[in-house]
Amino acid sequence: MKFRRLLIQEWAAATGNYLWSGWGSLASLCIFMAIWELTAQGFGPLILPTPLDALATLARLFEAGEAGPEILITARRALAGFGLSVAVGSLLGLAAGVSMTASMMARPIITVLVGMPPIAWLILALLWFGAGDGTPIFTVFIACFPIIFVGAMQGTRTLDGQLKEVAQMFGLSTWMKLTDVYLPHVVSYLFPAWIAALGMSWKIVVMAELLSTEDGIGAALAVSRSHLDTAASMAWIVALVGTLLAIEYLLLEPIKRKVESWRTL
Amino acid sequence: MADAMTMTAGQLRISGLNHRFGYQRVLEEIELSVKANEAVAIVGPSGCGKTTLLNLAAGLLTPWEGRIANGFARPAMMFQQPRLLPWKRTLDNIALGLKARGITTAQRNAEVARLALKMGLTVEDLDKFPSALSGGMQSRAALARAFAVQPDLLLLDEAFSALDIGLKSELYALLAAERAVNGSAVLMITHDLMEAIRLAGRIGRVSYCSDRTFETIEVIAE
Repeated sequence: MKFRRLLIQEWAAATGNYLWSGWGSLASLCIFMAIWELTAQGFGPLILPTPLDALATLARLFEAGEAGPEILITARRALAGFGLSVAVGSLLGLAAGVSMTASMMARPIITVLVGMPPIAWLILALLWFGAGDGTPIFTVFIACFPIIFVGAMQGTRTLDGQLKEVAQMFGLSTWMKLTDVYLPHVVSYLFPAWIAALGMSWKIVVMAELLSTEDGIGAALAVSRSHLDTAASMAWIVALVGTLLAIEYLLLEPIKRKVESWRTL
Repeated sequence: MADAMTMTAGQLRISGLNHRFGYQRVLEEIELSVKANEAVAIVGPSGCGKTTLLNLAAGLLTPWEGRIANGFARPAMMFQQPRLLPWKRTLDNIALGLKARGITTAQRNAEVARLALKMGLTVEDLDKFPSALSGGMQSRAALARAFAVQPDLLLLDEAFSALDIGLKSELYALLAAERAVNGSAVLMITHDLMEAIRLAGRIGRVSYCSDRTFETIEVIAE
């Protein structure tokens, strides 16, 4: 009974803390909106529409049934590329981290991949895949891959040798070593890498769409630019950033909290 | 020579052991045996390769030269630091070796709870992560983790050196009690002669130590 009361107290405290940190973010968001509003008033609606104008335009786009499908198309492409690089990057990074030789061989390749500008990949992707889903998905994948790969590799490499000895001494099977020793440690490197890659995927997908496709937020941005419709451009940008924030804070953050609960206690 | 050195069940035999890290000689001409039920302590100054000897005996390192025949079926080791997995609750940490043996969750939880209570850990402690435990409690958990697998050979690497005197003697008593139940042999490394006298039936001293190398072990007490 006492134990249960303790759990409830702990949970209440954690939730309270989370809400309180939420107020902090809300306050900084309000300051950001205020600066936007002030700048907009100074420069006029052609240069920068006010936040309310942008939101009203976005609401109108939703009502007209234009925004929803475009956002879904963009999210689908970004998430497909991101998911692909999460799967491939995490697995290969783990494998490379386990072997010294593999990580030394991977290093220069990763440097090349990181150094290669996404726009160059985009050009290649256009030649290889043409206009369609393939181009944005591939560009997102190839841009996110090195970030996740390096995260997984570093995580595996930095695992405490002492804990490996414990695992060997107590006769842990390869599967148990992976799930009980390697993964819990690697995850604390993987999650930041995943979140960085997710942000990256959202930027890349819009760039790819702007240049290669006829649908999605990127294409909509290209249209609103050609119409000199700044309010619509801002509306699309708000929609884009909003989706990214929703996915990060409603999907990844709760998973991270759950998986990393041992750090906070 | 090889025929005379065949593995004997319930016995650890080290013969003609030489070990190096790169060009650094660490161990030279070590002869040592530990029989079932026997407690052997090796004393000597720090930095002479005692831990290396224990790691070799545990099979964590491969010897450079010589032979190590470990005929014990269930060796367990308690390291210099508790080395609990920080992302596992105390219960799951203690149960690690049992889980590796494929024992079911319910069975190992019951076994761990019984053992942990005997070792002075509380039910609340079992639900905590290691970072929330005091140093002494972490050592108890590490000892419990080693006992949980009912070892027939227990390797202790200065396991008690960082603890205060009261806790030490309490853990000595726990060790003696568990040994009485499991009949485990012990090979322990320490720089505390009193600890060796208290726990071991046979004490070996590092006979010569310079340049971080030790040569042979001289038995100073039976």
